[in-house]
Amino acid sequence: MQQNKTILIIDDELQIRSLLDITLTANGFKIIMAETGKQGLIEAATNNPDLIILDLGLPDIEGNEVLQKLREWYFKPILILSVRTSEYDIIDALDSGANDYLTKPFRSGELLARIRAAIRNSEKTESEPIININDISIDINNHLVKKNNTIIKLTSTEFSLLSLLARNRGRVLTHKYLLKETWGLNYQEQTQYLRVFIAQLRKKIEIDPTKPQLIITESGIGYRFCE
Amino acid sequence: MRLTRKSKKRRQVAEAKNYIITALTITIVSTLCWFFIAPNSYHVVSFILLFVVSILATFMSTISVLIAATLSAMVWNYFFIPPHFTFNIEKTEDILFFIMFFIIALVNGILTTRVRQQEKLARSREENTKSLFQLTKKLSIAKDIDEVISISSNEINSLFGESNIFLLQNGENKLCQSSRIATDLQLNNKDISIAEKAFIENTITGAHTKNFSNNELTFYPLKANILSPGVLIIKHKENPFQTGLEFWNTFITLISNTLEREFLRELAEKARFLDESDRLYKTIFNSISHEFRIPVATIMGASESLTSNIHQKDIQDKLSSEIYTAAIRLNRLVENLLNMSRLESGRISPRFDWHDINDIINQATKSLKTDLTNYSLELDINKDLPLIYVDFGLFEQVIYNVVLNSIQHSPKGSKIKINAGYNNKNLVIDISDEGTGINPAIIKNIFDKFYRESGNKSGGLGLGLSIVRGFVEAHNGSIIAKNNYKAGTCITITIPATEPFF
Repeated sequence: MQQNKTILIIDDELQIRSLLDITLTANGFKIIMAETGKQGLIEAATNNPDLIILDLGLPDIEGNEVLQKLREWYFKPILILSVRTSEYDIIDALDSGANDYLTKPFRSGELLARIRAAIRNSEKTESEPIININDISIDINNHLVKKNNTIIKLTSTEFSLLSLLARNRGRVLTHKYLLKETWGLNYQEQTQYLRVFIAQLRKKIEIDPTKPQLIITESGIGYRFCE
Repeated sequence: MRLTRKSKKRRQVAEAKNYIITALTITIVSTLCWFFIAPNSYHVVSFILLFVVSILATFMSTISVLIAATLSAMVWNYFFIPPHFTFNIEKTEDILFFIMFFIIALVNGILTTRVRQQEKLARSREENTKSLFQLTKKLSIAKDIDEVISISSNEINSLFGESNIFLLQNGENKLCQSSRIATDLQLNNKDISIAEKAFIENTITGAHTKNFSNNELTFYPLKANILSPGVLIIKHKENPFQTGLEFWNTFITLISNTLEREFLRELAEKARFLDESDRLYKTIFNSISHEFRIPVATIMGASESLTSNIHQKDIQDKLSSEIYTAAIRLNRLVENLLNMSRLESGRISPRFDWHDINDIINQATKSLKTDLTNYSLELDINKDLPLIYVDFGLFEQVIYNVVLNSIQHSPKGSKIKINAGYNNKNLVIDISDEGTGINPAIIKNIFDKFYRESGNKSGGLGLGLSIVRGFVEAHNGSIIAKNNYKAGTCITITIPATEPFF
C-alpha cells in the first residue's frame, strides 16, 4: 500500500534528515528533502508529495507560516516535528491544519505508525458506517455503540465525542477542536467539560478505565483514538 | 556676599548696644553712689566702680571693658575726687589712687575677658572631640556601606543641622548616588558634574571655597589610604572653615577611612563568593561531563562495532539495544538540564487546567515502560477522585522522576506503589518502593540540587528530585520523603487542590 508513496522532509538538521531518509526508504517510501522553508515550498509544489514532514524550527521561515502557505493549496497530510517544550507551537500547528505531530527525540516505530495512519485517513473517500475497534463497534448512522455485542447507553454528547474521535482514529485531535466540534464555538476553552466526558466515556467503553486503551491522552495537547 | 555684609552689620549693631549698656551701667552706678555715699568716703566709690568693671568683664567684649574702665576712671576723678567737677586732683596720694584705679580696672577687665575666651575655646574643642569620639564609636560598629553612610549622614545633621548627601564610586571610579539612603537634597546635573570634578581633582569645591563658590553646596572628596570612596556633599549653614578647620578635616577623614574599610570588605567578600562559585561550577561541570561521557562512549563503541559487520544477528541486536539505552540516558540528562535551567531562570509558569490524575500517571509510567519491565507497578487511585487542577507536563515530569528514582534504588522484582487521593482539601500522592531506603542522616538533602548519595551506583546528576521539588513548589505544593517501616522509601507529594466546580 505504501509503495511509491512520496514523502517530503523539510528539516534543517542534516542528521535528522538522513535518519528519516534511511528509515523511510527502508520501509518503501520515496523521499524528497528540503533544508529550508522556501526550498520546502518549492519542492512541495513541484513534486506534490503524498505526505510532508515539517520541522517547526526552520532557519528562514517560521514553521507555522510554511504550514499555512502549504495549506492554501496542499490538502494531503502534514506531520509536524517539534521539540518537547513547545506545546503551544504544536497546538497552533495542529489547529492551523497539521494532521499530527511528533516530538524530538522520537522512535522510528512511532513515526512509521503516524505516517501510515495519516496516509490511510487521507485516502478514505467516504466515512465507514460502522467502525470496529477491539471489542467495540460504533454504528455512526444509527447512533449505536456495542461492547462485546451488548449495547452501551451513551448520551448524545458522549456519542458525538466518541464518533468524532473514532472517525479520526490514529490522529491526534486538540482540546480546542474537540470542544468546538462537540459543544460549539463558545466552549473552546472549557477543557473541564472534555475531561469529565472523556472520563465518563472511558468508564463505559474501556476494559480498565484507569489504563485506557482506546482513548489515549496526548499530554497537554488533546486526545487520540487508538488504531 | 550680601549675606556676609548683612551679618557684619548685625554684629556692629550688637557691639554698639554693648557700648551703650556699659556706659549706662557706669552712669547709673555713679549716680547711685553720688546720692548714697558720703562725699568724703570717695575711696569706697572706687571699689564699687572696680567691682562693676569686673562684673562687666565677665560678659562684655574687650573694647566694652576698656570703655568701662576709662569711663569709670573719668567719672570717679571728675565727680568724686576732690575737688569735685574738675579733672584736677588735690592730694598726691589721690593721684596715685587714680592711676592704680585705672590700671587695676584695665588689667582686671582684660584678664577676665581673656580667660572667658579661652574657656569658650576649650569648651568648643571638647565638644569637637566628643563628637569625633561619638562618630568613631558609631562607625566602628557599622556593618556595611549603607550603615556607614546613614550613621555619618545622621551625625552631620544632628551636629551641624545641615543636609548632606553621599555620592559613592561604583568600583570603576564613576560616581553614583547611594539610592538606599533617604535624603532631602536634590542634585541637578550641574551639581553632579561639580562633584565629579571634585572627585577627580581631589579638592574641596563649592560654597566657602575658591572654586564654584557661588554654588550653595560644598563638595568634599572622600580620600582614604588606598581608594577614594566618593564625594560628600553638604549644604552648610555657616562657613565651616572659620572655626575648627582641623576638626572638620578629621571628621571627613574618619568617614572616608570607614567607607574605605567597608569598600575593601565588600571586595573581599565578592572575591570569596566568586571563588566559591568557581569551585561549584567546576564540580558541576566535571559531573556533567562524566555523566555525558558514559552514554556517548557506549554509543560510539557499539555503533563502530556494528559497522564492522562481523557479528551475528543476536549480537547486533544486543549492540543496538545498548545504543538505544545509552540514547535514552542521554535524553534524560538533557531533559533534566533543560528543566533545571527553566526552574533556575524562573520561567516556570504552570499552565493550570483540569486533568484526570489517571491520565498523568499513565503518561508518566508509559514513558518508563522499559525501565518498569522488571518491577511490578501497583496503582491505587481513588475511583471517585475528581479532576485535579495542575499543569499536565510538569506534573507528569514529577511522577516520572519520582518513579524513576524508586526504580533506581530498588532491587529487580520488587513492587512500586502509587497511591492518590484527596485529604483535607489536598491532593496527596504517595509513591512507595521496597528498595534500599534513604540514610536518615541525609533524608532532608535528597531534594537539593546536584545532591547525590555518596557511593550511589545509579549515577545521574542529582537533579531529578530537585526538579521534582521545584515543579511541586510551582504548584504551591510540598514534598517529603520518609523511610517505610519495613523497607524502602515513600515519597509524598501534597498539593492544595481546588475543588472542581461541576
